[in-house]
Amino acid sequence: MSVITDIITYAAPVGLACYGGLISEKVGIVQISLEGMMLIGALAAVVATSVTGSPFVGVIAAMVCAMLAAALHNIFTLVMRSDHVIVGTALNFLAIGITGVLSRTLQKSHPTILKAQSLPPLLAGMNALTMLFIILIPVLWWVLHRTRLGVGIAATGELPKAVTAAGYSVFAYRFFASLACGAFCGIAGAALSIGISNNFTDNMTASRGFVALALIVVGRWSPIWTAIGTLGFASLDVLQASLQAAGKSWLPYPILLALPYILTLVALGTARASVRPPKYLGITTEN
Amino acid sequence: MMQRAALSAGISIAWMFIALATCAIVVMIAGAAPLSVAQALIHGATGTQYNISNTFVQTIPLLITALAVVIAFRAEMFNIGVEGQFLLGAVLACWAGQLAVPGPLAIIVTLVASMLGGALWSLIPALMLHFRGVQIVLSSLIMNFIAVQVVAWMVRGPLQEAIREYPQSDPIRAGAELPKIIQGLQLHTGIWIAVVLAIFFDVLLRRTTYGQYLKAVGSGIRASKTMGLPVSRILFTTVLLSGALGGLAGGVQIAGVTHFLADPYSKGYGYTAIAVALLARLSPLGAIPAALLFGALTSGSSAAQSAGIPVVVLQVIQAVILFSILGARYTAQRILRSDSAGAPA
Repeated sequence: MSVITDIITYAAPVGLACYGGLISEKVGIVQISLEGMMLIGALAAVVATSVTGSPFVGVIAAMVCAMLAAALHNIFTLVMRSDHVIVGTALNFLAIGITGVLSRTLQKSHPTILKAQSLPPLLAGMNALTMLFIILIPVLWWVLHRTRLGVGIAATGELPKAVTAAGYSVFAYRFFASLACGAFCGIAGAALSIGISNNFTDNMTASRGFVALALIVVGRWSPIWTAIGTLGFASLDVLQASLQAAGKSWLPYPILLALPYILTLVALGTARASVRPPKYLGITTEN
Repeated sequence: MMQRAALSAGISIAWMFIALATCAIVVMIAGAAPLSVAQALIHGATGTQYNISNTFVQTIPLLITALAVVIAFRAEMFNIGVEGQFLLGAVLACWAGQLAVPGPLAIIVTLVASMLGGALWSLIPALMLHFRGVQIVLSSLIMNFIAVQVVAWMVRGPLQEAIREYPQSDPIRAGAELPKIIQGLQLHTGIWIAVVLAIFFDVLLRRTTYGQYLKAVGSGIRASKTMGLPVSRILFTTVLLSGALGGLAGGVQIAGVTHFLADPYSKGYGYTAIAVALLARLSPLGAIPAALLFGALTSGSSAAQSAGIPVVVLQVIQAVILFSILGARYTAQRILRSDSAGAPA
């Protein structure tokens, strides 16, 4: 695999989660639990692939399971109007716990179930999900900025009253956007567990969902800039890994590991000068 | 009035049953009998003198970090970076605890250093919020990941033990240790620090101008600004204060329990603290029983592990408790509102 393919492959899980978070934030929902939904997707993908032998079924299972988690988030944020950050935190706890319990239980009865066949490479060493990440950059931009649906999504996060006045349902926009976010996070988890890797390990998302959340802000809520940010982050990750493999690092290894995060923080600090989040982001009273 | 109290108590109890039932189902999925797991949990938390001591030992860092969360969340500052502040507090405490400081001063220097460590770690998110408007929830979280690597670097570099064999630090000097309360048990005097802090912050929040400001800012930033409150200064101070508390928790852990730094250092106290603080409904005094509950769960879960239950079940229990609280609050609001709509009080 060439370096470019490597970078795109490592960017895909984060990037796909970014798309989900982006849609969610656009309609005004703060999604802290991208991480948890990715984790659920990662496990579902491996188990379903391992049982059916088809990675395609694995991806569908990942989407469905993560969407169920998103539906739970919806019940608490949209119906009960609880604080988004608190619900997201609880959902993350739940995801880590449930995937941990289920993976152990399943492995006890079926020792090989957490190993699955990876997605086959389709083009230049990239698998279907990696390619999806790239293809979606222009598609998502077009949907969000050039269609009625995109206008509705943006209006829901910016001026929900106007959406209601125009005869559309703010609740429906938020509900389905949140489910879409779940679906993207499920795919992102699959891109990790049966894309990059071929098994499930505890907490294997390793905070990629949180990084995605930061990259959305770095990318100014634009799919294009977010994807570029994701590729930048992935390049650092790949660089760091290759430096470690070559054993020629002038920095202490842990600092090298922290470097992508430090730069994300720096980008976060500089990106916000001219942008602001959707106006009704995280506001629970307006529906 | 009596009816309302009975009603909200009933709602709480109903949700408690829902929570218990959910936990029992998860335990059964994990392939164990709920009753024997409950027994193992209770025994692990309270069964022997050692277990009781361990419950309190686990409670201490949870209580202090929960106070850090309470203060920040009161102002709607979602500092979920307490974990990182805890780690940096531990790093600085470990460094300061090895300095040649005479007598009882050593403990004070160690703990103050840990508070500085935590405050400095939260200074970056505070500055980013103040000057760039970056949400605390993001910046403080990213700081956690960096903090983990700082600890990893410290125990392999600047703070590594003199013989440089393992990735861990040398122990702090005996004078910098927090004394044990009972000979032979792990329980240390940090418990008094934690309880006194809870009382202190209860008074601070209820009886001082700062507490009133915090309340105002928490219920509406824009309104507070219109009222002429120094909102950004209050937020800045609150984030630093929260960070200092998180750091102190790390310092108390070094001085009271481990006496040296290792990698990884935290069991995720800073994250559990969020659950503790929310269970306590952001009340400093309420954080005492809430932290005790989670301390008992942590202490008990190691025993439950021998009953065939993976420790991750603890995370499920945490989540179920959080969701139940949210559910209970919602139903209580709904029922009480429709109640008062029928008969305006």
